[in-house]
Amino acid sequence: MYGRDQSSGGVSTVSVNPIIQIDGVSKTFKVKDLKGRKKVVHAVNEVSLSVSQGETMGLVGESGSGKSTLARLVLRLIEPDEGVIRFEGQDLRGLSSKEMRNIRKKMQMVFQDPFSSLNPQMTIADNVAFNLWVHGERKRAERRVMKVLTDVGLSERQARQYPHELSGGQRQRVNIARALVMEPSLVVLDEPVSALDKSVQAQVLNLLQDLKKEYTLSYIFISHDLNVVEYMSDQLAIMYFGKLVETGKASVLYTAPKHPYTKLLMESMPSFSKRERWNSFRLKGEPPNPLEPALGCSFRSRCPNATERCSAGIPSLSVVEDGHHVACYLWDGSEEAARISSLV
Amino acid sequence: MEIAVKKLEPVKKPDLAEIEETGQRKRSFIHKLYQDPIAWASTIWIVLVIAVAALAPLLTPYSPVSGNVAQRLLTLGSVGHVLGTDEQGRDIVTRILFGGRMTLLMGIAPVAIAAVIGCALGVAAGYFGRVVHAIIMRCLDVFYAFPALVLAIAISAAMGPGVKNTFVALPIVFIAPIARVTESAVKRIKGLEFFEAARASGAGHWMIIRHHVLGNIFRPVFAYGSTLIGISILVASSLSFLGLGVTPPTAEWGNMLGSLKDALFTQPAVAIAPGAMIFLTALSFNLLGDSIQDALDVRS
Repeated sequence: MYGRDQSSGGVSTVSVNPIIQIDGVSKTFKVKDLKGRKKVVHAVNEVSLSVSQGETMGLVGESGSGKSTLARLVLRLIEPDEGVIRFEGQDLRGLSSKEMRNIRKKMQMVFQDPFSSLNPQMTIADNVAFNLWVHGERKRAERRVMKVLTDVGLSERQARQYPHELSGGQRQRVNIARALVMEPSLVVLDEPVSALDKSVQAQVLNLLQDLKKEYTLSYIFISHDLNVVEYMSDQLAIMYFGKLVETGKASVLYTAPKHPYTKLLMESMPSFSKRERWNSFRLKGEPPNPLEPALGCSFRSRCPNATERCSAGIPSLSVVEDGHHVACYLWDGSEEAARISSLV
Repeated sequence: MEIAVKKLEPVKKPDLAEIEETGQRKRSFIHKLYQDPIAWASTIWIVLVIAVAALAPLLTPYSPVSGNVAQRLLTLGSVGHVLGTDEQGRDIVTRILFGGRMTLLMGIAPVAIAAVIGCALGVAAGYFGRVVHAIIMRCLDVFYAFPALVLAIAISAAMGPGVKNTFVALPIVFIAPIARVTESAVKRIKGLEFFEAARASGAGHWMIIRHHVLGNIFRPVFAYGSTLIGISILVASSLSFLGLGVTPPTAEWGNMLGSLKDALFTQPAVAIAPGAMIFLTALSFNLLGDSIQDALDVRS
């Protein structure tokens, strides 16, 4: 049994040579509600996940589901309240700033907004070179920057230009170049193409695929666009309301989703062939209020299969088959679950 | 028709667009100023004042400090004294030319000093955590409690008259508003993704401030500071007028006005000259500052 009560707060998906291991990580933010009362929002709630070397982990969820917070936790841009994050086996907690700086070389991030993610006062080359300056590599910087800019498809002339002179797609290439110039092993891509046109999206996605091979990278790919994620990901993790609801191979989750939320997502996916399925699964109910989360499963209010049990407890991730985990009472292995899930 | 169209335009663009368009602004900034007749007029006046102040000794045969007592309070248009003479027989034109040096210095220097200190405080307040922010901003709030002129008079009165003390009093007046403008600019930058990218690279605070913060706060601070020069001239002149700033016999428009006020009943036209110079110069700096702010502002 993979109960969350039994381990140190979470379960890990089994994978060989994990480059990053997230174990029972939680992060809360203190906020004030409309009446000025102090509240706590659980942005990320006991998430456990691991990414294997050379793999792309797609992280999917709606706005506010905590996927960007999780990305920032992985890069230690914010500190987790609970849980352990290991990068190449090394616990990131309590590292000195010097040790952390060395690790930061190996994990980089590509940001969502191609407009605000580059310093408007620096040239493209300087924007990319800054990472090298930080690590005291000024001498090699120029050559390295040109190499990586060429790799992402930008010219020497563009290297001398300022961000405003480039298009959104070109800027996102700069963004990618900035991450790659440190020769990282893990790149976290936070919605890297969602601000781009469809045609440019395809170019950038292909570029990312090519670079992954060339630089032997692992990706954490965050998106809410299921078509994009399907194209990019080997593994998939679905987040809802700060928790993982389903993890597993992307191919499996796309063809045979188990969690009702994943099903909802997959069936809401616009496609050419599955039109008739489109309206079969209507979204009902309200998403939960993050300031006043109700007891029980957070998807309960919108779930077509919710039972009394769902309001009593919170289901934890359990194995349904090898490498496929679902956090739902329909799939927790109990007899009742088996009976219900056979009906669904 | 034009008004109706204007109203339909969005009032505020998001901050991201604002920062992002800095580059386009760079080109259109000069272009916009170039097309602005008010900016032209005020620039011409300011350049003129600077030029005649710099060349003052070449433009007049008289001394700014010693006069001919026999020729006291000559009226406008007197032979050899176009704007007349003051109560000690000194040529008004000469005094205005030399006085312009002092007035310009007291307009620009305090703002420049305040910009350096205010930027440092503003960056510290905006960049570092809540505690530093609270300490700096609450201290600055104290200065905000007083109007600029009252504060300047209070500081000058406490420290005694003299140019040196004016150069202490005026920057103190301007530090608080400049620091506040800087702080809000820094906070905006902190919310942008390139700032987060810099943090993700493991850069130290100084590295981030030098490369990513300072370059991006220059424009708003410069635009705001340029509007303060006019105010600085007014406040400095007021201090001199009250006998708290530049002390006689040094020529300065404010203290010229102060000494000529007694002659107001006998030679009103003569007393108007330094007042008109203060008015026109302060107004020009103010209008130019406004034009710069408009030209830099992407929302306009």
